[in-house]
Amino acid sequence: MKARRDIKTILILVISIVFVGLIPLFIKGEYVLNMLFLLCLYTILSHSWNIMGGYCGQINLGQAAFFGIGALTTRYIWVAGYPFPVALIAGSFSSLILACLIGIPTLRLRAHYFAIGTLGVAMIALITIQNALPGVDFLPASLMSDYNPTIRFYTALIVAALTIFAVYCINNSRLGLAMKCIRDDEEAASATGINVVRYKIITLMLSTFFAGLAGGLFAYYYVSYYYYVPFELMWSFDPVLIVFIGGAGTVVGPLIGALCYVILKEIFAISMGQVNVLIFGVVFILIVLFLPKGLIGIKKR
Amino acid sequence: MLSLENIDAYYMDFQALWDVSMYVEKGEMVAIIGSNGAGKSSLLKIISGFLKPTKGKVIFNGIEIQHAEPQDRVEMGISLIPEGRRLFSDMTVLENLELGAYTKKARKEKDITLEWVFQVFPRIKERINQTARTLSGGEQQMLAIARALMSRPKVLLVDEASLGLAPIIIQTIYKTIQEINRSLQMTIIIVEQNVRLALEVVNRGYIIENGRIVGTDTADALLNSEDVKKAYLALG
Repeated sequence: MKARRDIKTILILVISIVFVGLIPLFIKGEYVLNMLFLLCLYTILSHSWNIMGGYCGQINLGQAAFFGIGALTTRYIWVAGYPFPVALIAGSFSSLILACLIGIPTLRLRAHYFAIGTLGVAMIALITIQNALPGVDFLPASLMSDYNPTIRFYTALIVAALTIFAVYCINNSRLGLAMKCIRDDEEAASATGINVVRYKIITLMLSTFFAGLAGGLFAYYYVSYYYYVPFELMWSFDPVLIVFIGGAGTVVGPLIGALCYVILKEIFAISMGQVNVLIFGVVFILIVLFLPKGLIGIKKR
Repeated sequence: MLSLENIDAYYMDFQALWDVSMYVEKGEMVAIIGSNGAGKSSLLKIISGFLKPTKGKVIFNGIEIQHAEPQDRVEMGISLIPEGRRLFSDMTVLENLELGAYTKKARKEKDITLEWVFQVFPRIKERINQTARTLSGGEQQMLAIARALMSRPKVLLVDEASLGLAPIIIQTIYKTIQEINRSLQMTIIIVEQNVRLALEVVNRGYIIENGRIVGTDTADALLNSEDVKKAYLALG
């Protein structure tokens, strides 16, 4: 019974990834490619939040710092002349190191205090970068000459597929089970012999690793941007929204959430400008009130 | 096998336990009785590691463990069935049981333990694929006991197993706990507000009042003591 459900999930995931991968072959244009890239980027970023928030129940609002440091490091190493995959991995590890330095102390905080503490981390990172690196990060001409958005989109797609696969494995592992226990009842988790602190640290490291990957892809795709842009707080809040739209603590949920988010944002941002932020606030409240398990919860009801 | 020596414990500024000493022998079943807020649950928290004493020692099989974390004490063989059961209610019965065997040692013997737990609780076996929240109160309590047994404990701590259950089910639960104690020689400490019920199943009891142990005796002696009758059994 459970095995059959697993096969169904895998099928849905594989078909959707292949489908997304085929779209650029039939619909040409940078606009579509950009949307698809954002879909992949948001899937990775929201899954990174989902690991910590959805599975382990720790509301981390510092994701922007980890996304940003991943972008900064990846870009720096890539521009310095190393192949992009090396830069990307280095970027992810830089997020992981930041997590060890800053994240682990904040894990001593519980519940709301953890959320506020991590938000503080994100704000400190943002303000630091705004002051330390006020300029615009341009790609050098040597890298511009072979710039190809199609390749960049497919890179993002592969990373997204690997991320989803990793979350799928976590979901079905003992680690995943321990994470869900900590989310449901920390004290009962310790009472069954789970080392809560150790698992929270492992979860944070996994989560930030994927946030760093997403940041690296951002740095790979965009030609020029202000240094502080990947540190902006929206990279903390968007994944929360996406995960809740789709369904927290699930493998497929963030995928659905990212799709809805990219489409809605495109519609609202074009027609309403900054008011779209207000609309997403309302969407978030409605989702939490009426669909606490996200869109994926509708089917289960 | 397990002893507490001169334990003081605080919740912030409030002292919950005062110079508490007690012991349990291997295979013994002991009750801690007392009224609301007397410190019964605090005592279990000291033994399971959720509350650390400011003074005194917890000695388990000759080792001082007062500084050990709860999960490490589970590994050593001290398992708590928390008050209010604290099941993982969105997970299935089987998942809850598997979680009970999370420690390294218990994992190796998981299948054997599971077989045995199903023998003790046949009702649980019928419901392995249901989520824990769909069980009745009594079944949930049985699952909580079963989950604790999955860790292969040497000492089982039972906190208010009667909470929110019908009298007839409470009887069944305590009979089962007694059965576990007798057939496996498992050391069991129970905390219970229902004093008569507790004293009927255990060998020995400690009476705790305002955070202090005020008396200890065999269960029979306590049941017949005038003080206990007056204070806890609403007799005399």
